[in-house]
Amino acid sequence: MSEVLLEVKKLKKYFPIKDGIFQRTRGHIKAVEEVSFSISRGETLGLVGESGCGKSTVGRTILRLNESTDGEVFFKNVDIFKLKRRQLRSLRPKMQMVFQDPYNSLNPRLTVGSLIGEALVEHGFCRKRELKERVVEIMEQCGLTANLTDRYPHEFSGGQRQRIGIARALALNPEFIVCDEPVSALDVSIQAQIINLLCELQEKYGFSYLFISHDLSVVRHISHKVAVMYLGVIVEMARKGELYEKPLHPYTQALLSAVPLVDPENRKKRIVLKGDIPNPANPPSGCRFHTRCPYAGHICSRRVPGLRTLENGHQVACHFAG
Amino acid sequence: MTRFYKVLALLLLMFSVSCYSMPFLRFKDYAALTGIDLITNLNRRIELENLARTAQIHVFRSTSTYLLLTLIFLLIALGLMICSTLKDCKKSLDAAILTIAAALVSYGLQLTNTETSVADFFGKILLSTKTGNGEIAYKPSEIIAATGIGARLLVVLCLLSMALIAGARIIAAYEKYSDSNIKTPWSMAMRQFVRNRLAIIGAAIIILLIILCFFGPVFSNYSLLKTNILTAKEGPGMEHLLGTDGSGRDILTRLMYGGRISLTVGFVVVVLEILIGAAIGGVAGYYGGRLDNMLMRVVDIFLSLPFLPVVIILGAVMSDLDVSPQRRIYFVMLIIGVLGWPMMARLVRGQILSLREQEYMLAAEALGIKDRHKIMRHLIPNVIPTIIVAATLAVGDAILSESALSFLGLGVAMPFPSWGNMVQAVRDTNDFMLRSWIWIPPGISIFITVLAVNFVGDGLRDAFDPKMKR
Amino acid sequence: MWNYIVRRILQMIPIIIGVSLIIFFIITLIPGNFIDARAQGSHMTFEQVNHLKELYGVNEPIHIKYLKWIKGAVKFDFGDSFTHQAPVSKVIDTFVWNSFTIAAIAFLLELLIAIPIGIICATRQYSKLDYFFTIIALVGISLPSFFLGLILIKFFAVDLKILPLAGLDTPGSNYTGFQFLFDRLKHVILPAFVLAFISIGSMMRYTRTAVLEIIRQDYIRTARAKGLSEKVVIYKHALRNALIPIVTLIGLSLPALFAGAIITESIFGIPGIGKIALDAVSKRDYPLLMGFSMFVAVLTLAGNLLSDILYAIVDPRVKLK
Repeated sequence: MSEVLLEVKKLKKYFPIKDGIFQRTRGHIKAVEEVSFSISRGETLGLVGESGCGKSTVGRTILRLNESTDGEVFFKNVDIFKLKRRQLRSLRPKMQMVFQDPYNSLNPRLTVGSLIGEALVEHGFCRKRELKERVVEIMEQCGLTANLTDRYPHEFSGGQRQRIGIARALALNPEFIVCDEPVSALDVSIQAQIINLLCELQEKYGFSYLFISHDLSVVRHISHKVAVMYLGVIVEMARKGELYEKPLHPYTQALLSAVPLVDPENRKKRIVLKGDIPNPANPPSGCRFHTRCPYAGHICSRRVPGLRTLENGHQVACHFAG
Repeated sequence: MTRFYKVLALLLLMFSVSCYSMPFLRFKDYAALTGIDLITNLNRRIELENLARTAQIHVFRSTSTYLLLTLIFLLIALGLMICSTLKDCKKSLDAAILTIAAALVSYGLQLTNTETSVADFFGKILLSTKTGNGEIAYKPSEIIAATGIGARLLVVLCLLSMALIAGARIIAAYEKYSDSNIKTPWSMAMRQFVRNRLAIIGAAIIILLIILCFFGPVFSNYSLLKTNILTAKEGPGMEHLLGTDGSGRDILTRLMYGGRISLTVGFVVVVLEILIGAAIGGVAGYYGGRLDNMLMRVVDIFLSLPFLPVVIILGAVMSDLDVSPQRRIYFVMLIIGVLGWPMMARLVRGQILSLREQEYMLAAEALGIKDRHKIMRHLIPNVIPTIIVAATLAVGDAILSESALSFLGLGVAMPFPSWGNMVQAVRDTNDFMLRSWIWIPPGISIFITVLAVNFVGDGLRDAFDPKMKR
Repeated sequence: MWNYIVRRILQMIPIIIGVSLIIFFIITLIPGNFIDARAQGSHMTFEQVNHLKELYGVNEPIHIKYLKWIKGAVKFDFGDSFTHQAPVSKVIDTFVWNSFTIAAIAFLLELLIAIPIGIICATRQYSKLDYFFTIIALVGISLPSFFLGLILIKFFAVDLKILPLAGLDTPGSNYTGFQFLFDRLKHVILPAFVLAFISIGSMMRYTRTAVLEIIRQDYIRTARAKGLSEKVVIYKHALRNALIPIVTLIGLSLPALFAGAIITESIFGIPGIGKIALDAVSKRDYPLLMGFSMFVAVLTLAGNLLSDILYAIVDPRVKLK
């Protein structure tokens, strides 16, 4: 096993709800509740869940693009949350992010060359003379031709823009990249290309990824470990093979049953969850999933099930699983 | 640009330099002064050659420093043009355009001296008298003067050569950018702007007005302030193209001077509004939190102030404090600017608030870009279009406000003309009903100017709006 | 909803205080006072002048004056107008209705003309009609109001002689009933037209932009695809949504309805609150000036609030925070 690059301990992020005449904080949206995991060098952790479960928030908070409410994040044993701004800024090149929306994540008024090279100049990684060469190098890694450096984002397709976004993240030689739903806005055929690119780059450079997505099939291809989130809590985390073969948490089982399979003879029975997803401002007591769980028992509404570690490092947050 | 045009422009420039040897000031009964006379005798007194053999000695003290500057710029431009013709170098062509523009600006500044006589553009005419103890004293002289052909030709030739070179350059650039392969956001916007007929007409009108108001007076034989009861209230005719007003002053000339005021006010006020408003709005929008709250309260207070009542009251205060007519213009600009910046601040703040949420701002943070670089490289270029559009429309508003204020007698004060206060002539019911040439031309001028500005502003807004694609 | 209103009103208080400070400060900049102005050329003795000054509190220090004024202002008592010899609130009340009549007629004209034309321009974007009305709109916002008024007077009153020169009623006449109304209408139509013409331009373009945004939406395409006639599509689906921003404009027009158009009233000699304010400036009648300015400021804030509330009522998506 390689060294642990990133360690997240009991990360919490609450968003205050302001109401009333004086805008007092009436409550909180508990977007992320005590999330813990670790990622080793060269490893990809896939983070799945439905929209609004808090996975994007986790990604952003880890990079301190949001200030956390509680918890710690260690990057190479350095507590990120305790760093001052200047120290944080010098650490940033190591931890990068690829964004979801290819249309909004690139400044429309900068050329592709400037977009990619900006950070290089900012951190002094590159001298002015060598800048263009370096940028072209990176672009070619990502499947973009060299003559495109003077074009503007609006001249590219969605897939190409996402490549630009990846190139931009690559420029700083990061060690860890958060991929926040990088292919959700793309056509399926292009999705495959981008995922393959990310895999290639990982093989070549040894990046670690936190791959956030709502699409289980996409995550399956690229991840080594997978964590499933529901309403701000990780309900199951395991190595990829384990999770897809033997899902233990009822929620994971329901999600996997919904994945359309090509082979008509291999159809599993579809598990339909009852009810609607609860309001994150007022999550259910005890196990957050108990209101929709087909196996819910008496204890489920009383006690919060922590992540229990079973054999093979398979972790589940359920009183009855395993 | 073809050689032919370059050579033609070169000839025009040479010709314009030679204008200096032609008469710049003509006097009745006295020999004319050429441009060279004016610039070689800066701040010295030249004795005027007496043609009519009268006993009086008239002296001219030249203050034509800007005229000298203009000559210097023209010579530099000439040099650059020669260089460009010989070596076909684009950079010297651009430099030549800038230099001719500088020459025009400098000449325009020279022409801002306005007083009782037309000759005041270039200096003062003085009558030399002997005082009691035999000393020589100088009093303002009353001899009739007019601008000479040299002064007038200089304007025409400079403008022509500028039009030729700049025009050819613009056409070349236009052809280059029409090629749809060049797709910078700015060139796309420019292309959209140029397609808008109204906007182009508006821009042309504004340029014409600027030329007319700032250089026109050199072609007029009439002065700004000199009154002449004999010619009062005459209708339009050969002598006075737009007639005369109640004090016998030429309306067309005063219209041009008034235009200078209105255009300057419009421009200065907006610059003021941008400096204060964009800065405050930017800071409020970017830093948010308590600073934002505080600043927006201040903005709200200013926006709730009733504009016209406050401006009128301040105008009355100025009158009571006996502010001199020259100073009033500055105060008027200050007042309108100070009451107008909140609107700009709000616009800029709103734009920044929405830009701040764009993902590329988040990306910049993730990349570790410093705050001030984020602001300069990512925020500001995306805010500039909003500011440009708002500023252009604000110019129209500023001109309207100033003219309304002057019309009420509380802005620019007599005897200095502003288009607004020229319309004041309607206070005399006879003038209102029977002599419409006194008050209608200034009103129309205001209207046309503001209309042109609004055409341009509208065109800019369409050009920068990403959704308005045909 | 009520929470929101109360919160907004509380927020308005510091703004009103700020505005009152600024207005008060500006007015005290005016040197001299009305008593000295009146006393010049009259036969009043020094003691009499001083006595009057004491009576009117002319010599007191600034902060005392301010506090006294604020105390009254809260109760809507702005003191007495010097020139009208009556309480300021009564003066405003007397004259504001003249302004309101004209402004209301103008507003009605605006709504009836600008909105339909805006819709037509939007549905026929880039057509000759659209182009034509765009130019008219730009003309409207570029014309100086005083100039338009003067031109109209010259044309209709002086040259054609079909409308009166100035004032609200024909002097010396004692019309009643229908004749009175007709006479009043003749006097009011030109100023109302001026006010309307100036504002029609911006309202027309605003409507046009709003409708254009809506027409591009997918649900309009769906309505058309369902086979609904264009009329139904526009009037039933598009308009209801386009009215949202238009309705907010109505709220923002509140101050203009009452505050009077100072310049237009002076030109047409209408005894409205605007003209009174202008006269007050030349006569240095501070209580009236201050009262009037505060009146307009409060109206502006109320107009903003009204506009936000109307927006929340009309647009079901908006939840007031």
